[in-house]
Order: sequence, then structure tokens, then C-alpha cells
Amino acid sequence: MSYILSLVIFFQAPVKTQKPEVRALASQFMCPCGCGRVVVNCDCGTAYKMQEEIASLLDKGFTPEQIVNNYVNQYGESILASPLKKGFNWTGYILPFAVALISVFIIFYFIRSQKKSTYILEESEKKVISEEERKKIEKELEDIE
Amino acid sequence: MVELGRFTLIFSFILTPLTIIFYLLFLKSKDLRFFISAQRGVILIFSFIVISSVSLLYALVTSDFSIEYVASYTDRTLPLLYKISAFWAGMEGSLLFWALTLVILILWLWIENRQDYRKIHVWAMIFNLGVLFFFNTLLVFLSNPFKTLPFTPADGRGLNPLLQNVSMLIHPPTLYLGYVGFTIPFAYAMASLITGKIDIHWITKVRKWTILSWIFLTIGIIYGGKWAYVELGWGGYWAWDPVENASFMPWLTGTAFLHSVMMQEKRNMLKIWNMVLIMLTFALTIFGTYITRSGALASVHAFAQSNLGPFFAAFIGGWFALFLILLALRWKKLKSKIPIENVLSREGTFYINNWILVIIAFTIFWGVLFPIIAEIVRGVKITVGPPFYEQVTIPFFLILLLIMGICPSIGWRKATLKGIIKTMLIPFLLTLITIPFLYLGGITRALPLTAVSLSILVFYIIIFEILRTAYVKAKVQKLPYITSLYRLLLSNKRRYGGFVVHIGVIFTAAGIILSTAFKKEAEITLKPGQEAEFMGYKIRYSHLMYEDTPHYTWFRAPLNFVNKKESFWLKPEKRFYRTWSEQPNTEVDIKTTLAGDFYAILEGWDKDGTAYLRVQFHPFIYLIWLGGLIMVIGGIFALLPDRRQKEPITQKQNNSKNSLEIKKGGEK
Repeated sequence: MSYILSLVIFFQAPVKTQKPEVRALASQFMCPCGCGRVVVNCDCGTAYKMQEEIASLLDKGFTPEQIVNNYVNQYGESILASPLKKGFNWTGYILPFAVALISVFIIFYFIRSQKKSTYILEESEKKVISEEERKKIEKELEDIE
Repeated sequence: MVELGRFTLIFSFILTPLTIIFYLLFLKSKDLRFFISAQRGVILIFSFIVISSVSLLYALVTSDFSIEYVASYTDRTLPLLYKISAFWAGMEGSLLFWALTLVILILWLWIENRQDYRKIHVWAMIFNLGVLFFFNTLLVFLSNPFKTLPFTPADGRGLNPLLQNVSMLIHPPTLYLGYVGFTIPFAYAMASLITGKIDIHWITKVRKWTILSWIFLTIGIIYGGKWAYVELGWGGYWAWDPVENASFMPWLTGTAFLHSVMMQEKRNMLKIWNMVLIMLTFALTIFGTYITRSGALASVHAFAQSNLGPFFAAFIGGWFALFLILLALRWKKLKSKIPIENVLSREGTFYINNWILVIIAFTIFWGVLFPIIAEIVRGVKITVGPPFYEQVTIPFFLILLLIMGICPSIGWRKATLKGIIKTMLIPFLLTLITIPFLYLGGITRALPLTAVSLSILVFYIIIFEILRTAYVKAKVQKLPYITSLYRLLLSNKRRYGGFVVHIGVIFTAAGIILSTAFKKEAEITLKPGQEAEFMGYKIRYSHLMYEDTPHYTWFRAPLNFVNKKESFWLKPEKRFYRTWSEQPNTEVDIKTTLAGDFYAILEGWDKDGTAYLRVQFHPFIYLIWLGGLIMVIGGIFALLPDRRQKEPITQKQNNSKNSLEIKKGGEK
């Protein structure tokens, strides 16, 4: 029984070899099987079929852009491994850098304000504590030591 | 055994809030009897969860298919080791494993502090038990691993072939240990907030737990990469998959926390920030736990489905709310009065280091979140995959790499530009000398050349810093240089352990850069007896082999790699598991050499035995694993106690300084 199963598997086994340009293009698409891998890294039947389809489209003279558009029309933008750089999608690319930049300003502001508040504190302390009181505190500190 | 497992889970579920109540009553009444009852409660909870876990393991090993979990993740032919690893293959088992790990850590904490009546410790126990209670609730009501089937099937579905790899015995447990371990520092942070004891004590107390969790998380992530490399059959180790991201985010914030606590210890600074960081790390570990096995996001690592999302969200949200309330109450007390004197100081570099680590974590989180936001705004589903992450994170990683080198060689409080230049001049010159060799060696593209040069610069800075300090010490103390170096490394294990970790990071970074930038690949079709050329090797293929085993059928293409100097075999396979025949499993074969890995994948074959193959060469990829190992060694070294290091409060002092006045036997 298992021998027959092996033979069936043998003749049904996936077959493929793809050119580098096919693989490069296939790495831009997520596998529609839902595995979470890009087509070129997935070894399911759907991924194999898609690679064969890409190869055939390239052979027919379609440009990579046309092929990308074809799949986007067929599956929607979610087929692409990274969002197209247009419109609202730019937020995805820009926000991390914007947050990084803004946080730098916040940190510098925080450091500066800390310095300033300490300076003000020192100045006010100078005004409040008289020479007599200072001597008294120093004497008490000496006693503690 | 099914009933035993189920009932012990229920007992543990009932006992956990009772123990919390005993601890609370002790805090209110100061009556030691409540404390003793709570302590006994901890031991009982531990015992019940251990019994429950052993019951599940027993059911898995003995193939008790009356249990749904066992039938879903094992079958009769599954090797024993994988039957054991099925414990954490699904959501229910993973949750029980989480609870088991946490209760072990709680018991460890209990053993270390069983005479500690201080409020902060008692509250830490309460918070730990609070987290455990959440997992107990899920296990009893929503995700019970002992749920039985209406009928007992003759055989189980079997374990997903992708999980049938030795790494699966190490990767998930270590990752979970890392996740769970961060609960302890978090519980202490919350305890310090609620008690108002926001001094150095909680930081010192959690140091060991933080480093330990960080080490396990590092092992988990590195092993995860190794598993993906060996098992997923595409020659990669990191796909910026949501589950991978979920493990990396707490690692980043945890690393930031490990650094910023030093600011609090040495300079009493960043107290609020440390609280925020540990809260974030804890929340991210819970998020990671959920994502890993829930199947909530499409992932190569999600092997189960669950609908626990709202419960996890509520749990994280609840803790966040409590945290924010406590933080607001203690805000004034936490606010640091010590300013940073100069940005050119170790404090300054720690600010930058924390900033960059948190920004990277944010960027990754943003990547995970962006498809949801885009769908809300545009009504269109999009995917955020590897190309996105590579574009947005690489600049930050480069800055991080540079900071890692500069940071340890700058002193506290204030450093001069002259001093920094003096420290970095020789490493910088050495790097300048190295760059032409890198270029001649083939690293000609700008990005890899910059990244590798930076890695080398940081490596030189660290080594130079160690050697220079040892030299000064030898001169002052009139010691032989080797003795001075030896004593120096042992004198401050935390500092030099950290240096070793940094070296590990550099190795890993170099491995990532080199293996990515200079990967070679070829698609080869060979008829039996044919030859092909790859990287100066002749690849000879004789014929396709196949064999039936009780567990699976394999097809193999033996390839003989031959050049003038050596000859070796690679035997890539495709496996068809009996219970998962719809999912052919790629078993790659790898030959590791000093220059890198030769990696062969059998993609398919023809009726006449023609093999369709993919061969790859991954230069210096082993540096990634080696770097991971060095990071772990550094972490363990940093964990070892220094001779000069003393506990901040000894047990004797602890008892005498106890903030609670204890009443024994209900004395009034």
C-alpha cells in the first residue's frame, strides 16, 4: 500500500526550476496560500504555480510592472510583500523616521529643562539659606559623621 | 490521568486568588499566619500545575487520543521526543507550559525570599500570582488542554512536519522562559510603585531575573533562526514574520531596560523610564505569547488557531491601566532631580542607546500594525513584509552598532572630546587599514562595506578598551600584564560580560551582513549521471532515491561536490508524512566550511529521475550562531557575582529593617 502511495507521490511531485528574473519578481509577492512567506520561499503548490505563471508572462513579453499590476488587480495590494510607495502608504515608510527625529528633540528638550530646573533650584537655595543656617547645618552634618 | 490533569488545573485556578487574598490579609493585619498560609498556597499551586503538566505529557507520550489536544498534535508513529515537544506545539499546551514556567519561577522566588516579609516582596508575589491567575483562567475555561473528544479516534493527526526538528525541543521552551522571566521584574516594578519603595532595591532585586530572561530570549530567537534556516527550506533565517517580530520586540525593550537600569543604579536617573520600559517589555512578551500560537496573524510559526485575542487585549490593557494609575500617583517621587551634566558622557550614550532600541522596537511594531491602520484608512488590505522592514530598520541598526562601540569607552558624568578621540584613535586607524583589505576581499558595495567596517571598528574599540585598562592597572599595581587582564575581567563581571555580549552582537551583525550581501545561488536541473558547476565545485548527481519509513516517505537526490582539494556529499530530501501528505516537507542538507555553508534543496523531480535543485552558498552565516553563543556566554558571565559585590541588604538587616511589624500566632 505504502509502495503505491510512494509511486503516486513520485509522479505527482512538484517540478520547477526558475530563472533569476522570475525569482526576483516572485520575491515581491506574498504566497496567497496564507503561509506568511514570500512566493519564492514557499514550497506549496500555489507558490510553484505562481512562479510558473510569472515565468510564462515574462516569456510572453510582459514587463515586471505589468506583471505586478496584473497580480495586484487579481489579488489586491495584499499580494505585495511591501506596500506600494504611494499615497497613504508613505506614512508607513516615513513615520518611524519622523518619530525618531521628534523623539531626539524631546530628549534634548528634557535634558535641557532638567539642567535649567536644577540651576534654578540651586539659585533659590542660595537665597533662602543664610550664612548662619549654613554653618549650623554643616556643624550638624559633622556631628552625624 | 485526564481527570487528574483537569482537576489539578481547577484546583490551581481556585487556589491562586485564595493565595493572593492571604497575602493581602497579611499586608493588612501583619498576622504571620496569613503569610504562612499564602506561602503554603504557592507550594500547592506549584504542585497542582506540575501534576497537570505531567498528566498532559503522559497523555501525549501514551497517545491518549481521547484528549483533543493529543489527537490534534501527535500520532502513533511520532518519535518520543516530538511527542514531548507537542506539549508546546499548540495554543492550549503552550499556555500550560507558560503557567508551568511561571510557577517554577515563582517557586524559585519563594525559596529565595521565604523569610522576606517586606511589603515589596509580598506585593511582587501578588502581582506574579495575578499574572498566573490569568493563564489559569484561560486554561480552565477557554483553552483547556484536557478537553476530550466525543469519540476516541484510532490515530491522531500528527505533529506538523515543520515542528519535527530537534530545534523545536530548545527553541519554544527557551523563548517562553524568556517571555515568562520578564514577569518577575515587571511584578517587582509594580510592587515598588504600589509600596512607594522606589529606591534602588527593586532594580538590584530584578537584575538577575532580567539578565536570565534576556539570555533565554536570546537563545530562543537565535534557535528560532536556526530552525527556520534548517527546516523551512528556503535558505533564510529571518523573514520579518509577525511571530519573529513579536519575539524580537521584547528583546529590544528588554535590552534597553538592561542598559537604563544602570543609569538608575549608578546615577539615580531614568526612574520613570525604567518603569515604562519594563511595562512595555512585559506587555510585549504577553503579545508575543498570544501571536506565537494563536494564528491571529498569518505566520510561518503559527501552527494553531484560537480566538483568545480579546482576552489577551483586555489583560494587557488592564495591566497598562493599573500601571499608569500607579505611575501617576508616584510621579513626583520618581522624577529624577539629577540632571545629565553632559551629553558627551556615558549617560548621554545610554540615552541614545535607549532611544535607538526603542525606536527599532516601535518601527517593528508599526510594521505589524500598519496593515490594520491602512485597512481602516483606505479600506484596502496590504502586507508589510521583509522589503519594508529592511528599508526602515537598517539605518537604525547601523546607528546602534556605532553606539555600541562608543558607549562603554566613555566615562560617567562628563567626558571630553579629546579623551574620546584618544580612546578611539587607534581602533579607528586600525579600521582604516582594514577597509582596503575588505574591498579587495570582494566587499565592494557601499552598504555592506559600511556595515562591516562599523562592526570591525566597534570590535577594535571594545578590545582596545579592555587591553588599555588592563595595561593601566598593570602599571599602577605593578602586576604582570596577563595577571592584570585576568583580574580586570573578574573584577567587574557585569561590565566585561556586557563587553562580551557586544562582541557577540558584532559577530551576529557581521554574519547577517555577509551572508545576505554575498549569498550565491543557482537553480540546477540534473538528469541521473549529469554534472553541474557551482562556486568552483563540480556537482555530480547519480540517481534519485526513495524509501518508505513508518512515519514518512522520503525522496533524496545525493549530490557529490568535488573540487581539486575536497569532496563532500549533500543529500537534500523531500518528505511526505503519512498524516500530512498534502504538505511536502523540504529537508535541506548543509555542509559548513570556514568560508560559509553549502546549502542544497531538492525542489522536485521528473518521472525519468531528473532532479530540480537549488544550491546556495551562505558566506560566514555561522557567525550568526557563533555570535548568539558569545552573547549567551557574555550574559552568563555578567550574571556571575563579583567578589566585591555585596547584597544591598543582607538577610539579617532585612529582617531587622522589616517595614512590617510581624505578629506571630495572632498576637495583638
